[in-house]
Amino acid sequence: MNPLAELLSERLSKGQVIDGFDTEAWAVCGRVPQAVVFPESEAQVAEVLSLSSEEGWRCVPGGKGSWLHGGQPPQSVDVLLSAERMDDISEYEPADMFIVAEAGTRLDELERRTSECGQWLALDPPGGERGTLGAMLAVGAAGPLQASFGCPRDQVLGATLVTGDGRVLALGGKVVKNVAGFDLLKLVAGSWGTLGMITSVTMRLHPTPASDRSLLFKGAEAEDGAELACRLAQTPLPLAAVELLVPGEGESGGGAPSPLVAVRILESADAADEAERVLSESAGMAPVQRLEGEQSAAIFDNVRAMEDGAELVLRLSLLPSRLPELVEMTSRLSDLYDPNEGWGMRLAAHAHTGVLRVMIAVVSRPDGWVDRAKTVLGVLRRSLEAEGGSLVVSQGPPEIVSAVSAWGELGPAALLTAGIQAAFDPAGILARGGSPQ
Amino acid sequence: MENILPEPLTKELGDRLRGVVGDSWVIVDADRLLAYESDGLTAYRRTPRAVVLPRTTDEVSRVLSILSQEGVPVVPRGAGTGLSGGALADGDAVVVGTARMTDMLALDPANRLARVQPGMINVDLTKAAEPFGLYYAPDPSSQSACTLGGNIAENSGGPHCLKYGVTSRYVTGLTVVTYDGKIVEMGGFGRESGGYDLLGVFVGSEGCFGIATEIEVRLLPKPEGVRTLLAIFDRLGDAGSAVTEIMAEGLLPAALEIIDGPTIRAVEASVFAAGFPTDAEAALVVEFDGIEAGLEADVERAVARCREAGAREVRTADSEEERLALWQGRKKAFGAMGQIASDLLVQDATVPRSQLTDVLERISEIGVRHDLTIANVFHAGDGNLHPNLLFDRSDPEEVARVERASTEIMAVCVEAGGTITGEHGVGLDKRRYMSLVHGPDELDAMRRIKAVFDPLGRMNPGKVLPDAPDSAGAAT
Amino acid sequence: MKPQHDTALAAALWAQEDKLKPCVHCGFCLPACPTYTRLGDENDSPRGRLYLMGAVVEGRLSPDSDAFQTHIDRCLGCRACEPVCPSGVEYGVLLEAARESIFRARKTPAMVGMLLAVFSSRRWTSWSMRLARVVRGLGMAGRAARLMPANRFFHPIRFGLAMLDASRERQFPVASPSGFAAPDGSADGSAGDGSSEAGLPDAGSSDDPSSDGAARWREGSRGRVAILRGCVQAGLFARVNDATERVLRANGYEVVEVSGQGCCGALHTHAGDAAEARELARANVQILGSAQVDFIAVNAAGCGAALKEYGHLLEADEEYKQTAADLAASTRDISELLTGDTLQAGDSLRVGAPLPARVTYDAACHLCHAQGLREEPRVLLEAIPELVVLPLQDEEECCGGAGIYGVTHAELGGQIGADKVSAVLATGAEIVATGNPGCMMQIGAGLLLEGSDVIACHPVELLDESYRRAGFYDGP
Repeated sequence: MNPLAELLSERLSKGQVIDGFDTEAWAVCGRVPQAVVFPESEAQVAEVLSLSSEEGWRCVPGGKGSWLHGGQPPQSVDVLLSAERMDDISEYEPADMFIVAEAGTRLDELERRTSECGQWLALDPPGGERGTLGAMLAVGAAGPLQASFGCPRDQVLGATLVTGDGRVLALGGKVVKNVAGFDLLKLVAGSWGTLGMITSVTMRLHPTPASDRSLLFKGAEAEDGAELACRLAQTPLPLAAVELLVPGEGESGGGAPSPLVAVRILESADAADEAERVLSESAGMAPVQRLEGEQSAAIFDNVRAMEDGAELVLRLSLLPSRLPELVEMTSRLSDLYDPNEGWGMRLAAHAHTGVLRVMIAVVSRPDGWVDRAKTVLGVLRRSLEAEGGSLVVSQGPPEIVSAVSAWGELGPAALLTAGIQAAFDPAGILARGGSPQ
Repeated sequence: MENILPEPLTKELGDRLRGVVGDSWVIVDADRLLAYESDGLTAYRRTPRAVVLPRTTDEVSRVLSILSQEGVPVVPRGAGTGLSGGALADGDAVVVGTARMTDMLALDPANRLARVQPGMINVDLTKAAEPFGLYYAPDPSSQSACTLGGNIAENSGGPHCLKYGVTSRYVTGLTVVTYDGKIVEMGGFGRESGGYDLLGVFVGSEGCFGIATEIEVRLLPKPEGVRTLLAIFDRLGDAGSAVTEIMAEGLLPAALEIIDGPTIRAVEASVFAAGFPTDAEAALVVEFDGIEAGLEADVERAVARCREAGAREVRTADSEEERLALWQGRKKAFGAMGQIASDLLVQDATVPRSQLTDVLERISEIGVRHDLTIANVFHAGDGNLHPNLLFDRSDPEEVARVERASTEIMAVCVEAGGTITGEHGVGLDKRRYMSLVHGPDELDAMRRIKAVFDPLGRMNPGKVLPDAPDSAGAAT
Repeated sequence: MKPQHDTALAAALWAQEDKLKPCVHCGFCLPACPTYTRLGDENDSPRGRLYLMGAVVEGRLSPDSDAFQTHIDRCLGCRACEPVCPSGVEYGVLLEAARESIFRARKTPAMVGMLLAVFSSRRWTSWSMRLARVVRGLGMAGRAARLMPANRFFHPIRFGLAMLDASRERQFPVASPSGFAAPDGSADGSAGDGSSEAGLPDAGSSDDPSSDGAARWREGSRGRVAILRGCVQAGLFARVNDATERVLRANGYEVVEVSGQGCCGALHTHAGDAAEARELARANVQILGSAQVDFIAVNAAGCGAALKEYGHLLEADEEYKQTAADLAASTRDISELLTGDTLQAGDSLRVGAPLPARVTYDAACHLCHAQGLREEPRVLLEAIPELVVLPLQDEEECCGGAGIYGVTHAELGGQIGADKVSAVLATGAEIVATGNPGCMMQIGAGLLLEGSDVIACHPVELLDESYRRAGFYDGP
């Protein structure tokens, strides 16, 4: 065992620390940690983090490792803390519609428990069911359902956070309306583990919808699909999600990929019938397919899995009404990949929020590809930012992400961001890369 | 609660402020500052040193630059309808009001977005959006008077946040001026910003981090159909059970509100009488909205649950007028208390819904023990209670009993797994209860974040956080 | 709270202390107040003014302080705050008491004193109105007003001349309706055609002496009415009085002439000269009270509101209080008398000939806020065939006329008036109807100075025109 792992296992127990070869599976954006620890309580997390703060070891908190390849690559990783062994559902009060679970609880386990009581966690983050609750909150991941249910920040009621220097903070509570003091929980959601390690989470639940219906509409070309998605999203209906899906070249069986617009309706059957009528009228066509119940859920589960296996994932944003322009702009990425490798480039867009995810199966790497990628992404980011939008490199080869940075410049907010990081993590052991995230 | 008159501003400082906003918009005359010594919570009187009423982001920035150069503390104020004393100028502070910043800056129906100045009245935004079939969802009961800037400060809720969520779900972008006069942009729809969720932590920061001078919010399409039903109960507990049953049914009403007997009688005596029977002990208002086709079935199920819980009468509002009358009665209940008592303290706490009936009983016991009338009107769906303690301030002994009862009510709610404020904020009034819900580490973390935005501690000082343990004097 | 101040001056407010108590400081009145929404200073809001009154009662503020006088003076007295007050604070009564305190505390400004003196004396009123008519008759007033420079110094004269010119009788811009060729009132049958086409009751046939209709509208069948002639109304709007009389007769009322009427005293009450107001009220109670009529019909909203409050004004006068209350109880606005609860079941407003024009309705404060008459004037207008009633933005907001406000607060009154004029112009109407002479002149003057052709008139004038065209006045 390396000295660092040795020290850690003295504090915890032998079985809770791994080092050497075994840590490679836990690489963070390609950075292999010196040791991976599996704390079993928040006290142990606090112990590891305060020790690391004293020693100056750089730490990354994680769950089961699903999202470790995303975000801003850290300069180096000494210790990775996995919440895998903290997976108890500690409190579930169906009448109050909240659940308290440890950060390492898997989303599918949560789903299983809540569905027994006719409730669900109305979030569908990318990465499917294998992810953990803590990681989902840490990366702030949300999928198509964000149109109606928002992001994790909107559904988290409370969390326990162990700060970089080992303080244990109980944030939020168990009730939906709570304005007692500053809402530090908002800072934690989407902080990518740079403020501390989340050890426990309290989430709001919803009653399982009486019916689940998805309607698929087909467009001729990608831009038509985007226009159709905009039109459907603008109908005054309570739609759970409107997602534009454009398959990659490699999965379209030759010819131009034809886009689909998937609309999910989580209302009563009568209301869904009426919504279907309005949508068909607005689309000027009937849906090519209607999926009910589990089948409806399944198609959106597929959307969650769309990033799986992608080498580069980008999130492009503009105001929702400009989705067609956004889709059109993806043609500028053609230099970065070979359409014949893997599925090529897939697109998926949340029509209500104007976020377009671009998933590229394999990045082609001819000579000078890093420079070329830097240029292409830099130019695209600048033009989006000039229009009030943004470009996020949510995962990709670390060389590229380090070079262009995952999020871009923060502007005048940078000072506040740095101050917040320092308030939670005075030793700076959790900071990632150039940006505090 | 005594009011010590602060030092007036120097002539030179007054002139500099007048130079930015104009002569009429700097109030320094002691007689004219009286009107600013209270907000919606009249238990406190704090006279500000001056009131400045800027018109634009730029003016706010210049005013704050001048005041921070002189080290003068700043208290932001909207319409002064807050119920926790958050807009009162403690110490030597100058009030910076947004009453003149009422413009609609942009309305974008295609993207369901609006950008407004902070002094715009909540309901005016919905009025402006209405022609496009849109509305602004958070509807605090004071929405006809409170400003959106104030809503940001308090992270306001309202009856319909049971289904639609509170203010923070709808704010997508902010322009903020910090104490040193710097202008910071936060968020923005159609953009995924890096860095932390500054917007999220700013919403609900009660004016302690800065002044929001431009606000971008998301609007929602108006639901196609709305059904409102009113169930009348002879026992408050039965109304509570009906709420539990409706939620257990898997229904998600847009609102679930309970008004108790004393409140019913106050409302019925006011201009907002809604036709609640005055001999009832509880009225439950249930509202469903959404696609017309699905509503009737939901209403039928809710009616059945109400009857099972012992409702003596269940009726539906048949017309839009009837529906509005019901809501007027509910939303003006606070003001209507003036009909039955000269002073009132409206409390605000949230408990897990399953604890409602228990907690209400304990609150009623507290009332009996302290010989006080407590009128309850509350958002039952999310467990947000508003016990109104009625008293006469000219009776100091009664005032003391109100104080004691309030403290006990807070303790009961926290013990039941709840919190000390659901939507009114901590302000000046509830600092003393903060340690009931937060440990020293959490309070310390909040202090550190406050210091990030306001290192000198001069932005709305003396609010939200109790005094640090090492500083002189305990929290008041 | 025990007062510490020497309260001789605050006596009037003192007497109303119990009316101040219900204010819970909720702030719901702020957005309803035209001065607050324009100035943003809480001292210029109803809540702020009540707070100042409270401070006077508590002895913390002197009634002769500049703050008290300025902000109480600046109130329009429109009472838009009353219908939005959940606690039912009687703001109007308190305002009068506050003004009385001020009136006693200070020397009345010369201009105000002169105006009040003129209206106190019937002879002076009559002479000044005669002079005004002469100036108006020269036909130069409007042109002179438009030529005068729009600066601070000339404003009162310029606006005064414009108001005078606006009171001039003008031809209604009414187009010929389809199938209605002769707009000279002789086309009885065509009138019937016109209204039939509009799907309304056939006015022509209902006027047929052989039908039941004629009996319904036989003069005197509905009761005896005296018309309050008013001072400005009698002086400059004799045509409105005449129209009122004709319309009442046509609807079956017997109109009794009561001579010796004086000013109703509303202006004095609003200015705080309660003693003089009581004097005038006593005179009117004596004259009108002995007229032996069922109703007193009033076509000036301000005077109507004043008459309806005679009971309150003279409540301390043992000799007069009963007759004053009786007189108040029999007072009706003309719109109320024609469409309101004084109609027997089955009765309805008589329908005249079509008047194809576009009109918008401005709700005079003293009709909608003081008398609660919102629907009646609208019903009256909507009963006129082919008259299109267009909605007016913020129709219940004060026009800034407010008695002598235009003279005392030229700038703010002008601003409020300008907003009203813009709202009227935005409707695209050719006529704006409003039930108060001050409002007709205020809005009319504003329109005139804008160079607009839109006419300001009283709703009853339109009804009268419709009746004239229907031939109701063509004598047997």
